[in-house]
Amino acid sequence: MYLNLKDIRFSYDNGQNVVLNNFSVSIDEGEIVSVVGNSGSGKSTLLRIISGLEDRSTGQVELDGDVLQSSKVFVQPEKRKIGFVFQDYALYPFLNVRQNIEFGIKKLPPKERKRRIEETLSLVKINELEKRFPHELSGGQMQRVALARALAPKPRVLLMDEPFSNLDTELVGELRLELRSLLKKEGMTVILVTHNQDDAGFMADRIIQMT
Amino acid sequence: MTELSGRRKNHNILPLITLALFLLPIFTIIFSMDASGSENWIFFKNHLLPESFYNTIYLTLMASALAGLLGFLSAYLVNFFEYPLSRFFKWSFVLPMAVPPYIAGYVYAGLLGYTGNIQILARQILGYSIPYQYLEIMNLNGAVLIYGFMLYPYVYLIVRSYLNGSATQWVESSRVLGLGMGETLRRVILPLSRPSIVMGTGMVMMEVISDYGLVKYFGIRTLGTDIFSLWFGSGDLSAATRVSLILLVLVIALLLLDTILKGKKKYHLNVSKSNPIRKMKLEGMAKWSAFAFSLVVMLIGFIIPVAQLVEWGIKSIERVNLSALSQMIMNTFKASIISLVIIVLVTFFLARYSAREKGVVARIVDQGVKVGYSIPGAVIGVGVMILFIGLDRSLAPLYQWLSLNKSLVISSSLFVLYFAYASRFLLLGYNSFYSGFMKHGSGYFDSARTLGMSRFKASFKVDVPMQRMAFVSASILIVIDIMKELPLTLMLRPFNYETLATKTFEYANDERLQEAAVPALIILSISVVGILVLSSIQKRRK
Repeated sequence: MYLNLKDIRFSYDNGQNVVLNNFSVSIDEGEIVSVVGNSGSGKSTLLRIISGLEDRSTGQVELDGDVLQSSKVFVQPEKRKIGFVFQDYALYPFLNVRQNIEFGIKKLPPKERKRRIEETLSLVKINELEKRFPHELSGGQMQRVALARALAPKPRVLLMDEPFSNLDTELVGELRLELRSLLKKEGMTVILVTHNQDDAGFMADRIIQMT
Repeated sequence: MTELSGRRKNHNILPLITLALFLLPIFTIIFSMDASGSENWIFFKNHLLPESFYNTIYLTLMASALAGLLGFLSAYLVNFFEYPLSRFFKWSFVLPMAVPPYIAGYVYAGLLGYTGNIQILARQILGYSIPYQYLEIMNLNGAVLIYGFMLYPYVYLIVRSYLNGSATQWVESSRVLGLGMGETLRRVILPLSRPSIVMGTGMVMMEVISDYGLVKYFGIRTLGTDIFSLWFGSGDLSAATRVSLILLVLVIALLLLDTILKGKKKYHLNVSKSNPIRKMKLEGMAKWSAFAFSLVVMLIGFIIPVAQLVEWGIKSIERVNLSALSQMIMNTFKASIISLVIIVLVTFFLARYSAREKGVVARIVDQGVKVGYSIPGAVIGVGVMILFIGLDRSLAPLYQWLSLNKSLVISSSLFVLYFAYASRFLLLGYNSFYSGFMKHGSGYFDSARTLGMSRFKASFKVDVPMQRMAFVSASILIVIDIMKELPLTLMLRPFNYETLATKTFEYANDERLQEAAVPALIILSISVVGILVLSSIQKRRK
């Protein structure tokens, strides 16, 4: 299995409020998995643990044979090579679209960096938006930019937290079709968190229900 | 059919008149300047003004830069990292706010002097007398240090609240995109925090420009101390007015600079859900550096001044004149409470108006209220005095008719002082009520109106109870600030009228530092309690 979560437990307030209790899941490389569940069921916490933004109380996270989190190991988020599309996109307001995409690949040599930016801009079809700032974009455009920024460093896994929740219903229908084919084309392993069963069913190879 | 009648009323006039009344002292300064300068003014302009101007600018810029650096670093450390005592530092970093810079100035001057604890310790333990020049603090750079360490909480509070709120997701996003904390600081946190840093340092600038006690005690000539020496030393109110006008122009220039530096963009992300950021555990050198930085800031900003004041207080407790002290406490509280009532009544009404109404007048009210707080106390003092002396002169026939045997009836009364406090601290009440009104919206009030209540009744029955917490916050802020206020009180108090702040200042100026400790400690204790109550209210609100 490519991504393995074993017996993950997570709680707030010094163990008073248990969000995840001995949760385990395994995901294949290239698989798109949707995680659905009610508010407070721990969907987003799961993504935050995988990305390293939260630390679990017990259990282990493994990616492609590397232990990312266990009782002895904690790999910092910046070392994990995991992409994350946040619910509110979190695009940097002081950078334009091109600079936002460039943000995570600054360490690449200039030529390769430029090629990667062009590639990503074309992949998500936003070439004409590259000079715009986030406040000049629509909800759908922001989502594409956030996706491009997350894909540019070629992450090992892509995590998406409620990617359609801020969009109009009409736009969602069009976008999710495009998004699925794009992610499949890239062979990306994806975990998508949503509260919408339709989105989950349409996007995913497999659905995980959290209670 | 029921016949309805109604006359359209203009609700815009009253807020404007109320605001104008409290801004009158500032207008008075602008319009009362005579064209020809007095001899005092000409001498002052040719020989003393350049130095005062330089000192004022130097102190303001350097102190706000130091406060900006300390405030930002402390907010950054406690918000993103875990290190020894970091939770304690998170709440205690605000405490230096309770120590007025003039009190800290007396303490450090005493502590570092030849008979101070540092020199005594060096002589007793090391058998070595530290050369005086190494511990000399009563100069420009010494004042910069005192201001920086006492006023950094203004920056700390604003930056911490920003970093803890909407900046969280941007920082997390940077980390998952592969940037370490160092690079995230440079490329994300600093650019995002710029408006908050500028806002905080802007407040520090205004505090430094307004301060009188520290520079006076350190013997540093500034535009603020010049207003006093021209008025009280040379009896030349006209020259003092001219200096006030220069200070007023300087404040306006600094406010403009502040607006330019803040930039047009306000970086705020409306997050659908917010998770507290997971703090990174610091290890090794980084852990101890963060701890050492925090400890030094707290030691200099709070622990050392308080410990020294307590020691002096214990030594002088037997010499305290209890009846004089209780009179001072009474005067301080009476002044605070009366001014508080005026401020609360006025700002409740103004904040309610500008939060609910749209249009130019509401915007003018919103901006106008902020003016008083930016203007140094000494300038407002001059304006208030000119205004009320003018009023007394115009009422002279009335005084004669009433057979009063003095000509300055209003201008020599405590009313002038209370009015000046209200003019200066209007913003503190306004901000609390304005944010309260914005938070609750107008739905509750509107529903009361549709249920048959008049504007006044709906406001009294609905708005007043809903603004209880805003009232508590405003009261704490106003009482603390009035209690610490020095220049206005020194300028406008009647003869023999003492408050805790004026007595602390007088004792220290007479080099009776131990006697100054008791009133200083009372100011400090009340401020600390107030600040802690405010912090807990804000925490609960979150």
